[in-house]
Amino acid sequence: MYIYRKSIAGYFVLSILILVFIFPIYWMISTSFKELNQAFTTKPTWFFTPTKSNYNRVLIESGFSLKLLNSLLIGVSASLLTLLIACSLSYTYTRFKLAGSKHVLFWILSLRIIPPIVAVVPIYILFRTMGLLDSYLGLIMVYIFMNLPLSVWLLLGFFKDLPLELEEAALIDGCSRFGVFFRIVIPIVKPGLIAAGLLSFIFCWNEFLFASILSGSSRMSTAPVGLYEYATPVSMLWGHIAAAGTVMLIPVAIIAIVVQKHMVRGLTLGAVKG
Amino acid sequence: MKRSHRRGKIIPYFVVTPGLLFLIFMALYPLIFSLRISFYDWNLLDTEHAFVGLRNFKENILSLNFWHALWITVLFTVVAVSVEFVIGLVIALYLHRIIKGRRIFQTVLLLPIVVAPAIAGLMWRFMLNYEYGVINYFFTVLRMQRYAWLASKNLALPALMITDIWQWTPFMTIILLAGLQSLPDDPLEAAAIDGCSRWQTFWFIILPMLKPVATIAIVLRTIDAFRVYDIIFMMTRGGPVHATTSLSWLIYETGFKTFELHQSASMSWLMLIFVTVIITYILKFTGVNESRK
Repeated sequence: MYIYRKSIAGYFVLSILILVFIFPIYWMISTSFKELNQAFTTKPTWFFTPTKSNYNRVLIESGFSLKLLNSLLIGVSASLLTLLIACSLSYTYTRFKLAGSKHVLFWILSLRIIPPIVAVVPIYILFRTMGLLDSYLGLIMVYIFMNLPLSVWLLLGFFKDLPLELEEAALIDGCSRFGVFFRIVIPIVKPGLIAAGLLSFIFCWNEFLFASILSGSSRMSTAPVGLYEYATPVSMLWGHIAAAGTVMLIPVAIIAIVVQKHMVRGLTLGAVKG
Repeated sequence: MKRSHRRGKIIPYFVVTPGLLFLIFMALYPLIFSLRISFYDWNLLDTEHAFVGLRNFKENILSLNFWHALWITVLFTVVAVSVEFVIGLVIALYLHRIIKGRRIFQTVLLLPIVVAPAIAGLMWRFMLNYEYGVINYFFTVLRMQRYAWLASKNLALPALMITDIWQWTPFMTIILLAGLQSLPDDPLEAAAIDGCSRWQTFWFIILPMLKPVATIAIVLRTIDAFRVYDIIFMMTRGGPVHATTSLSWLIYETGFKTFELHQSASMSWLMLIFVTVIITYILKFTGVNESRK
């Protein structure tokens, strides 16, 4: 074993660095509990009596809850559909010899390179003629497309690791192909599905460019777009922004903490088995 | 497994068809549409569109705005991704050597990654505020002057870089740490026995073995940094005086503010070509794309 020393110095340096990385999040959360006059001071207020007023304003009095709901509906449906399509592609390509599979899979991965801004204008014009602006379906389609390359490749790694014998045994025992997939394959690759699904969800939850252009109206827009409504030309409502940001952070933070191990593998496209 | 009757051979194609058709449609439609309107005079407000040949591409290639935006984008990408890689690697090496508490550090590091870039942009804008920003407060504590970060031509781009570095250094750390932990012990033991110094071990053994994982991290970050948009929208909106106008922002402004879709479409194509060339070059340079297949 390769042994490292001086771990006390290591802990010290790490703690400082971690404090730097956590500070902006701490600052957002603490600002969200401050009154306007406490948030806006030349000398920061470190200790104060927390107030709920920002949260009342954001969650109850303005339409931000509706936007959170929009984000949730779009994110969940887009992630589930992404998983469905990604499974259909990656499982079939690992188990059956399809023509040109190497090229097709590489092509799918290469789609990750296309900058979203390149697709924004054509998709806007297309969706305008199809009546998909300001609709759930429009954003869901875009998000499935943007999540598919990563999900397909992530799941590909999991399906490749699957021992063939297991499925053969089930087939011999009289299980149908689809039966094998749903009863044997799915339970084993569950970690992969969780990783791909949750990473897709986090992506949809945070996406701003398409959300702001394809559903600009306030009823159908998602949470990241709603955030910008507190940045009025007259003044920035920092307390509201911080409160809305904190609310938006809660679900994704929980996801990150609970499924940490799967996320690490997902972030590397499955290349490293974290 | 190999059931040779016909049905068994055709069904897999049926299964992949819907997914592939969807991908082909969503990928090719925008690209072909952009390419087509690149050859026209296509203002969103007009009804008639005149064919102009290569004029739009020529105008972009001759336009200072386009090259300036490309320069800003490349500068942002190179600085942000390199700093993220170096700091990320240092933290990963530190985390790798400790055993107790690694999970807690790792959990904390995942948080910046999952913050929406839109929120990150707004919060950093708040923290960088000239009068009320906490960053400027820290500067005054250190007996330094306050800076008008986002209003200054020289500091606006670094402010965006700082935001990006804050958000994505943890991403580098987490990937590199996972890579470090999957390295085999034997070469390291051999190096220790042969009396390699720690620096030698790092430079000649750890780094080369880490290359595939590091390449994936750098490629993914380069792709995303090159398309930077959200934090620009939230922090500077391309200003002051184009100091933070990235390619994405220029394409957005041209398309949705002046409605000259032909210009934004032809710039989109040039951007796609640039990013593809850069990524191909990184993969060639590191020689990783062959081993991935």
